[in-house]
Amino acid sequence: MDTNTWQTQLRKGAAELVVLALVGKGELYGLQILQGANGAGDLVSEGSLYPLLNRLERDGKLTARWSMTEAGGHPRKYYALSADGAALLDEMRTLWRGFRTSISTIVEDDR
Amino acid sequence: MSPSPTIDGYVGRLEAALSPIPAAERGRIALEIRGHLAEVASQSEAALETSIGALGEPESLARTYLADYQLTDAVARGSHPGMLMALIRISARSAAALVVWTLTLLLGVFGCAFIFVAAAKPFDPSHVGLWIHPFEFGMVYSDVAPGRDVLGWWFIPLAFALGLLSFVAAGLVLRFGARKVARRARV
Repeated sequence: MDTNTWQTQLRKGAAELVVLALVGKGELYGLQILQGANGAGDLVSEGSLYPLLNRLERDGKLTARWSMTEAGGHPRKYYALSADGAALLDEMRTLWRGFRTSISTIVEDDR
Repeated sequence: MSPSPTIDGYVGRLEAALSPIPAAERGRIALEIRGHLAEVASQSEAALETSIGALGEPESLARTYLADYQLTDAVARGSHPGMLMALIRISARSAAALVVWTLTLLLGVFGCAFIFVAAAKPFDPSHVGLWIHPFEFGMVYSDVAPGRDVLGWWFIPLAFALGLLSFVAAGLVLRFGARKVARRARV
């Protein structure tokens, strides 16, 4: 496995947590989530973000509303966390912290 | 929103590839992607090209959406194992899915049993057949007069035909039922 494939797998695994965490800070639409996710490095691609948002909405983790009257007239779909989504984010955050600590202990031990 | 042939072309192909999804849902997905591309295009033509590259081919983007609609996808592909797997996965929250799954399995078991007894007749002709008084069909080892079955060797094609009929019925129930469940449950 080359490092590109490995990096893609890492991003794939983290995408849901990244999206939930961003939307957890406030209502956002797709492009804003994309910019937020990729501001600190390419974490989520357009091709995976929109299907992911669709799935999270269908699973009841996100709620959505349309805005058709923004400047420029582009339709925007704004997402917010539902109660279920907030609970999932809390749980995933806790698991992530544990995971990060375990990995750091092993991988960054020789520094 | 000014019309753009690039965006129209992309969204048109996406909608066509999403045809297994119910129209209303498909429209919402297309509108979101159209809005995204239009907003990016308002920055620059180069930004639009980069964004279309990042979204990937419309057909491949559609596949990512469809993968989440496991049952819809299986119905679109005509995959019987896929439909059965997806139905049992959602059976806890959809009684209709459980009914379709159970009925399909039952018909499948009937089909196997008919084919099995058809194949068993040549090996044990006196105990495999159809008796009227009392009514018995298949492999019978008690209370029958051996050799008195009413069909004789005709039992084989009849049981075989019933087996095939059961399989065809199972396939029809599965395809029809799965399509109904997928439309209703958006899964």
